[in-house]
Order: sequence, then C-alpha cells, then structure tokens
Amino acid sequence: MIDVTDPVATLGTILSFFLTVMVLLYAFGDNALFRLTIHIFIGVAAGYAGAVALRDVLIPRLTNLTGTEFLIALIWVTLLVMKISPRTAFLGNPASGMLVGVGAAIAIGGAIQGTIIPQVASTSNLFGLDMAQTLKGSLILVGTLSTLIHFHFGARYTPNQIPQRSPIVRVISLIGQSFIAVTFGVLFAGIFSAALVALIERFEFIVNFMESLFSLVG
Amino acid sequence: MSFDIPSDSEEDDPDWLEGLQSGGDDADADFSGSSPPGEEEGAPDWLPDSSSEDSRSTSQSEEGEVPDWLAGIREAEESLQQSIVDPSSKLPAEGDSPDWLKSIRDQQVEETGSMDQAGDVPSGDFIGRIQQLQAQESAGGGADETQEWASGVGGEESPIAGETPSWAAGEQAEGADGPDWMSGLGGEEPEPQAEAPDWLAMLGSQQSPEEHPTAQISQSPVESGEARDWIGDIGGDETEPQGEALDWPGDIGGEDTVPQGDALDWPGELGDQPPGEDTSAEMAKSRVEGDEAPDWLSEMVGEEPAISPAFPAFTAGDQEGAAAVVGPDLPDLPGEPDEVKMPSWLDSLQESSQDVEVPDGTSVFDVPVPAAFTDEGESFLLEPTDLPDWLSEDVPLEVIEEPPARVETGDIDIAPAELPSWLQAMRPVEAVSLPVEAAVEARPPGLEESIGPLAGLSNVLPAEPDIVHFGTPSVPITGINITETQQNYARLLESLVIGEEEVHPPRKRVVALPQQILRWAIAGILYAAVFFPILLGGQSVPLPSTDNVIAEIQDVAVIIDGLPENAPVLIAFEYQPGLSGEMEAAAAAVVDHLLNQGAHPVVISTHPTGPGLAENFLQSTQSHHLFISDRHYVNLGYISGGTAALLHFAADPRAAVPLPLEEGGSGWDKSPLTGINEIRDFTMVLVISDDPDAARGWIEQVGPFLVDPSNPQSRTPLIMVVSAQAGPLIYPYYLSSPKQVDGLVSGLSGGAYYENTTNRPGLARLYWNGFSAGLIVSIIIIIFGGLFNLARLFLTSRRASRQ
Amino acid sequence: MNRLKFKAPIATVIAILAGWGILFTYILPLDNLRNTVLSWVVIAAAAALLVGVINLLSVHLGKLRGETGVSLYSFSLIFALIITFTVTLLQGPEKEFPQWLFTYVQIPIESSLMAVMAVTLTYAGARLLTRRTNAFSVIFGIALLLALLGAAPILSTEITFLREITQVLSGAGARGILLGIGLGTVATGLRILLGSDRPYGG
Repeated sequence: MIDVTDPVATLGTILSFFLTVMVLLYAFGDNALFRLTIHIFIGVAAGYAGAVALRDVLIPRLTNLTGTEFLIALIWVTLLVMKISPRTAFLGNPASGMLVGVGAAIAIGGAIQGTIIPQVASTSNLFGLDMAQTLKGSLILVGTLSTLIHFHFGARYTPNQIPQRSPIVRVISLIGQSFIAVTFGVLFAGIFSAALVALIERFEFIVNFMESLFSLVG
Repeated sequence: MSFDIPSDSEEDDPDWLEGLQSGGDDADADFSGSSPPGEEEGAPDWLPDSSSEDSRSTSQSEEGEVPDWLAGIREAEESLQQSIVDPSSKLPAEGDSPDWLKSIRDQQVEETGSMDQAGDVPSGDFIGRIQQLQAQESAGGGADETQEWASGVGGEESPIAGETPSWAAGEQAEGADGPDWMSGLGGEEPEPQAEAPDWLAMLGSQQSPEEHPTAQISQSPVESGEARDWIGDIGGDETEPQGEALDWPGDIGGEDTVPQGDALDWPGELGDQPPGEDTSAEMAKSRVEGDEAPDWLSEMVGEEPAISPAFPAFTAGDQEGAAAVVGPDLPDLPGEPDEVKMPSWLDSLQESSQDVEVPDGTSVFDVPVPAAFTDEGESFLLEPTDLPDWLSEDVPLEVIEEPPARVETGDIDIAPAELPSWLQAMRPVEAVSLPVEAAVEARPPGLEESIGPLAGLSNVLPAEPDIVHFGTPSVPITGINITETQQNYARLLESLVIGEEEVHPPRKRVVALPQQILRWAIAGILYAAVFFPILLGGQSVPLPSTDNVIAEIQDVAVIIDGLPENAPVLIAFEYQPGLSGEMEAAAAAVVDHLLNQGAHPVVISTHPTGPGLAENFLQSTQSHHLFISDRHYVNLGYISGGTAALLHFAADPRAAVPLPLEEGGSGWDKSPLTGINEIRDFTMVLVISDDPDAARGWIEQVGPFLVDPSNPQSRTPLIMVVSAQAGPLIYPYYLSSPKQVDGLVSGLSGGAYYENTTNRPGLARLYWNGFSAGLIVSIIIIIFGGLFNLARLFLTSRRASRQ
Repeated sequence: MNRLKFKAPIATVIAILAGWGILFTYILPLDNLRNTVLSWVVIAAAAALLVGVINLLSVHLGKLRGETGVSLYSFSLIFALIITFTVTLLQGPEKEFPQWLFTYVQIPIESSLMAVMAVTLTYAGARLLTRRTNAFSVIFGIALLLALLGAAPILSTEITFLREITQVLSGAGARGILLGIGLGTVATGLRILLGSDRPYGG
C-alpha cells in the first residue's frame, strides 16, 4: 500500500485515506470537512469528464471531418455552446431538438425490437413438460400480465361518481402490485448488497493502509 | 315604517292614513292603533309585543330595546281606551289594537279616571281618538271633516269612534308604570331612554312655520277634553283628556282649531300644550331637535293654521310637506340602562312644556277630551314640565292646501353623528370624488344622454366613462385618517413581511433526536461488523457451493472456456467509480478467466470515466497478466451519446471510433483489431455495468447487430457482469428465448460463485467474510426494527380503540 | 379563434425530421444517412457535456463573487476543476497525473459515498414500517429479508431455495416492469416525433 519508492502513489494513498475517513464520518453527522471533500470531488469529476469529452471526442472527430460534414458538425457545436448564456440559449434549441428527436427514435426502435417483441414472445415459451417448469412459467405469466394490467389506469366515467377501474382490473392490479412489491424488495436488497460491498472495500483499504503504516513505522 | 293609510272616505286621504284603514299594513295599523285581526304578530319590530307589554314597558327603560315613545303610545292608548267613547268610532276591538296603543289607553284610564266624555268611543287606537276629537271640534266646525279623515284614517279603527287606541289604552293602563316617555305624561320623570326616531323628534321641532313654509302642520286646538288624545296630553292640553278615543296625533299638534278635511291636526297639538299641562307635559323630556315632522304627520293636519314651528305642516295632499319631512331615521340602538340617554325630543318636550301650549286634542278633532286629559284630572301622559316645546307651544293648527315643499338638505339642522375612526377613514376625499363631481358639474344642463338606456333623456347623470375611473387616480389620495392603532398594525405587518425574507440559521439541537441516536447506533454496529472480519482476515465463511447450479453463471464459464486463443473480446466498462468495489469483485474472476484463455481485450465505454475505470480495473486486478502489465490491450476510449453512440458503434465500429495513429494510419488496422469491421466480428462482448438502463441499452441497440443476418443461428455471445441492483431487471433477458443475454453474473455473490466454480479466488473471497457479517447484522436490525414498529402500531391502535 | 402559440418551430421541425429519418433506417437501407446523423449526435452530445461543465464553473464563479463573501467550498471546487481539466486535456486521461487524480481522489470519495449509503439503507430498512403500514409494505419487507438471506450463507449455512424463490417471483415482476418501460418509451418517443412534446425549449 505505502510504497516509499513511489512517493506519488504514497501521497495518493495518504490522500485517499483521509478523504475516505472524512466521508465515512458523515454517517455520524455532517461536518465542514465532508462538504469540502465533496466540493473537491465534484471539481475533479467535472474537470475529468469535460477534458475527456473535449480531448477524446470533439477534437479528433472534428478534425477528421471535412467539407460539409465538418461545417454541419461545427454548426451543431456552436449552437449548443450558445446554451451557456441565457440570452443566447434560444439559439441552441435546434441542436437540442436534433438530439432529442434522434434519441427518441433510437429509443423507440430499441424498445420495440429489443424488449417488447422478445419479452412478449418469451413469456409464452416458459412452459415446459415438467410440472416445475410449467408452474414456473405460469407464475411468470401471471406476474407479467398482472403487472402490466396494474399500469393500466383507464377508468369508465360514471355520473356523480369517482371514475374507477372495473372490479376485475382492480383485483388483477392488486396481484400485480404484489409482484411489483416483491421485485422492488429484491432490488432494494441488491442495492444494499452493492453498498455493503463498497463499505467492505473501503474498510479493506483502510485496514491495508493501517497495516502498511504500522509496518513502515514499526 | 309606512305611513300610507288607505283612504276610506270620499276625500283624498293621505297615503299613510289609507294604510290605517286597510288593516293589512301592520305598521300603519300600529300607528292607527288597530292591528288586523290575528296579525298582531306581524307588527313591526319597533312595536311592542302585546304579550309582553307590561314587561316591555318596564324593561324598556332598562334595556331600551323599544323606543319609549312607542311604549308610551301604547300605554296611552290603553289608558284612553276606557275614557274615549264614540259610537261612530270604528276602532277595532281592544284586543285588536296594538299593544302600544293599549298601553296608552290604559295609562290614560289609570291616570285620568273616567274619560267617557264623547260617548261610546270604543277602545280603539289613536285614530279613533282623532276622530273623536274631530267630532268634538266639528261641533264648532269641521268635525265632519275630521271624522271623515279620521274614519279614513282608521276605518274600523278610527279613533273618532271614541275608542281609545290600543296604544293609548296601553298608556292608560300602565299608569305610573308607563314607558318613560309617557311617564312624563303622568307626572313622572321619564327615565333616560334611547333616542326617539327622528320623525317624532321632528314633530317637536320648535321652528316657526315661517322657517318651514313647506312643512307645516295644521293645528287645531282641542276643543274639549272629552276625547282627549294622549298626544294632546303630551302637548299639555288645556283641557284634560276625557275621551277614550285617543287621537294622539291631534294631541301632538292640536290647538284650538280643528283640522279640516283629511289632514290630521294632531301634530299641531304637540306643540300647543301649554307648559304645566299634565299629560302633554309629561310625555317627553327630550327636546325635539328636528324642525320638520314627517310627511304623514303633515298630511294628517288639515288646513288648520300651523302649530308650533317645530312641526311641519300637514295638509291634505300636501305632498311637499310630506316630502319635506325627513324620513324617520332609524332609532338609535339603546345602550346600557345607565347609558341610555333621553331622547332629544323628549328633552324638548320637557323643556318646552313650560312654554308651549298644546291644544286640547278635542279641540283639534272635535272629539271630547276625556277628563283624564284635562288639567283637572291627573294626567297619565306627560307632566307639563315634561312636554317638549313643540308640544307645549300653543300653535294653531293650519290646514295648508299646498303640498309640502321639498326639503333642502341644507335646511335640516341635523346634528352630525360621530363617525367611528374606521368609517371616517373610508370617507372619500375630494381628490377621488372630485372627478365625479366635476364630471357631473361639467355637463351642460339640459344635455341629452346619447348612450345607454337613458339615451334621449336630459339632465341625467353622466355615463360611465365620466364616472368610472379605471386605474389609480392621478391625484394622490391624501388625507386618509390613520389612527395610531392602524399604524401599529401596519408596522407589524411590515415587520412580518421583512422577516419572511430573512434567512435564519437553523438552531442546533443540544440533545440529539432519537432518530439521530438510532442512526449512530446502526452505523457503529455495521462498521464494527464489517471492520473486524476484515481486520481479522478470516475466510471462515464458505463461498457459494457449486452443487447448487446457477445456470446463468455457469453459462459464462462455458462460453469463455469455448473462446479461441487470441480472440478479440470487447469489454465495455459501463459502471460508476462508486461501485468499482463490487464490480471489480464480481468481474475480476471473469476477466481473469478470459485473459487466461488468451483473449485480447478491447476496452470501450460510453461513460467519460469508463476508460479510467478500465485502466484502474485492469492494473489493480489483472496486472499479473503480462498482457495487461505491458498494456497490450486496446482502449477505444469514450464515445459520447449514450444509446446513439451504441447504435453508431454497433452499426459501424470503425466510423464510430476512429483510431488515427500518430504515425498515420488507423488503429483498426492493427492487432487485435484487424478484421474487425462489424461488431459481430468480435468473439465475445462482455459488458460490466452497474446500471440496468445501460445494460438494457447494450441489449437493445447492440444485441440485434450481434446476429448474423445470413445465419440467424450464429450469434456473437453477449455476457453481462452486473451489480446486484441490476441483476433482477437483466435476468428476464437471460430467460428470453432466444437468449438476448447469454450469461449473467450478478453482484458479489455471483462473483464469489464464479470464483468458486472456476477456482479462481479473488476479491470476492476477500470480501466474503465481511459481506456475510454485514448481511447478518443488517438482517437483525431490519427484523428488530420491523417488529418494534409493528408492536408500536398495534399498541397505538389498541389505545385508540380503547379511547 | 385563438391563435396557438407555437414556440421554436425550427427546432421542432429538426427534431421531427431527424427522428423520423432514424426510424426509417430501421426498415430501409439508409445506412449512410444513419451513420451521418449519428455522428452528428455523438459530436453534439460531447459538446453538451462540455457546456454542462462550463455552466457548473460559471455558477460557482458567481458564488465566489457573492454577497456573503468568498466561499471556500466554491473556491475548492473551481480550483480542482481547473487543475483536473487542464492536466487531463493536455496529457490525456490515461496518463499519470490524470490517472492519479482519478485513482486517489475520485474513486475513493465516490466509493466512500456509496459505503455511507449502506448505513442509510439499513436505517431505512429498520424504519420500513414506520410511515406506511399496509400489505404491500409487508410484502416488500419480506422479499427484502428473503433476498438478503439468500445472498450469502448465514452462519455458514447456505439457503439456496430462498434465492430461487425470490429470483422467480422478482423475474415475473421485472418482466412486467420491462414491458411497461418499453411501452412507455414508445409512447413518449412517438409524442416527441409527432411534436406533442417539445422538451428542447419549444
């Protein structure tokens, strides 16, 4: 961990140790050191991302383009840069529109061919010859359908009454809500597991640092 | 309060008199002393209730709810009811008379004794009394006319019949206990009462008839005291009231002359009673301030000469006189018993009673005045000293034909009321109201209106554009009277508004909240549970057993085992630096297995931090591979655009990621990228992601391009190493048929299982003990927390149900 | 009839044209058009990221000149941003100093923030039934416990069937959620391509 032959790495390790401790102490309350650490982190992250975008994307791609393609790309970039100032932000609307329109089209194509069609087709293919597979397939089919029906909020208008879904839809929706609750519980467990591993990794780093330090001192 | 009286006679009766005949107008009926049968409950509010007459008359002095003069009228009526006798009287039965008339009658009876002078005057209302008096006077001339108008006044309730009006009877009955204003009639000092209505106050005005040429009350003296109106007693009649039929209007203004025609002369009697007369003097204590009597009063007076200057002229059809009379103001609300003031007109009655001779009511209406109303008898109405000036003045009643002139507002001497401060502040100032007045004044007279519904008419108020001023006035509004209290309120409001803008730093708590303590405890326990296993370095907890087949993980191992040597493998680093610990622990074994197979990794990322993470991952976990330590791998870097970049790269990798070399050429032409023209040319695609959306983007955008269109069965395998938070959402893509994800490793447990399966101990093994301890502690905390909350909820609901 | 306000007509036309053009490339052989448009998008996206960084810088520069005095936090942010941006731009992200910043500053801080979230999530799990106690909260809590119990051996005892149960049940719900996301994506995308939604300032 602490390598005296590599002072840069050692300095980095020491800095990492202090930054880690300052952030971990946030669990016991907010403090000024934590806020300072966060601001430094944001600065480093933003500077790194901006530099990567400029160096690895904009400059090589613009320099590789020629003629009309270069002109058009330069126009898009210039229009987007106009978004910096509130007075000229309206000039960047066409570029934003292009980004949004292309993104929407890509999302539509990917959702249809990548999720809707394959998932609908596979839902019916989960049944097998054995009972376990059939039970599993049935459970997945019921869960899928009830979850989808739960997201249907169409209601029939009745005079002098609050619009409500039909009783059948409401019952199925309750079943769908149960499946969604189970899914969200499992997702929550996954998020907790990921955070727990991050905590373990940080403590592992702290322990290694302390051991290196003690071994260096001792 | 309407004074319209339906005419029942041949001659034109004043409107107010007509109402007395109809019997349908309760107010008029009250004035006439006759209430329609069964309609006593419909009497105006200012008239007392018959059931509570006595209590009202006594309580009136205490609470002042009903004007005293009303109470007195009723009492006087009742007192006179017994004394006035008039066979032709059309007074209603005593029971039909309003209470105030009854009280007057009663008081008359009590104080003056027998009043039967004019015959059988049924105990009716004052109209009957009036008629009775008129009849008496007509014996000297004009009695017929008096009776006519009086009959027209009262119809069946005509006081000429001799009946004492109910209110008069009431006055009689009450006697010494009569209302305050009437108590003066009986010799008692009336207690302070609420101010009488202005119309009555104006009756006692002492202004000369010359000053009010259009408002004159014809007065006729009371010839006899046989049918003495209590009003005649009010004016200090020369003769004692005698008749039962009490014609109080006649007493009010009555003098010696009898009102002719339809005019009622009684108002003139009010001021005709000389001071010292018993009944009229005791009628009121307050001086009548108004100079004009109401129109109905002026109309009641015939062509008799005007009485006191206090009365407006009452003439037949004297519209101007009627109009000249200022309508009765709303009676002032009575105050506390101690604060109740004597009505001004009662004061005037008292003060002027010494000076004004009130003509005998009988002389006005030619109705014999009951003895009770005479000087000899004990007066039940007013002591002479209590008479207002206008009653005590000996002013002859006049019957004036011309209608009463319109009263100019400037001629009315009305004492200005004291406005409250908030009302004064609302008064329009000249700066605002001026444009309106100026607009009105600016219009030339006789100008015809040209717009609106009043088009074609002249001398109308100007149209809207001249009156309505939109927006703020040009002249600043000044002169708003703001009291100190209002200023204080304004300052308080201003301070509140300013205080809202101020930012107050939150107060620091000295004692921690229970939630903070719980949070600290959880943090301490969790930190300890994770720290100590790492510190101890044990690996006692076994890795997930390979006996339990996890298909998606084993498929990854199978696929990697089937890779040829030197196969280009595309590795996408699509996770955030924060989850680098888990992703490195989950993917380290997979990448190690991959590198052990001789695969050439090609790194790419759609995140700006991806290339840095790739470098960090490869150097920290795979540096034992020479290939990595020597950096013989290709880093395609960062491509921006998210899913658009993925689609671009999947459709044309070379165009999406140009790799210009410094020495010229393209990096795509160098190993291991040679032969890579399409994305499916890669041997395998490995996506390491913590975000389910990023992983889904690779599946949706890149997945279709991994299939060989010429051979749909041939497909480049897509393997994913995802975080535990993304695993449940990517697992359906693994279950799909055909598979969209060929292999899936999810979280630390998946990495641990893969390490155990491929026998590659790595970071997962290092973290497994701490991971297990942390899971146990967190499960215990969550279970205890849930049980505690459930128990608290149960106890709370149980406590609520008990309550 | 009231005139409808149509803001940003050029941006709307460009968005609709570009979007429908990309959609047609899915069914028509318009690879060149697709690659051209996508290349514009890649460049524009990089420019948009750069604009975001500049905006962040300008905001904190404004705070630096605020009425409350020089903000130490904003100064540290600006200093770190400028240093990192300059060094990374000049040397490249894979070079030593940018990598040093990335490895010893960004990764530790971000990992530590994720580590603190473990405490927060445990605290949230302990207070799960405090606010809303209904059947779905109970189901959520039970699923959470089952998933955690099946994630790793408890006291050296591995409970594998719990993992399979939660995997099957969560898979059914996840499939429905994915289909719902897909349908919603299609609906939202069509609204943008038809001009109903104009999130780009129209």
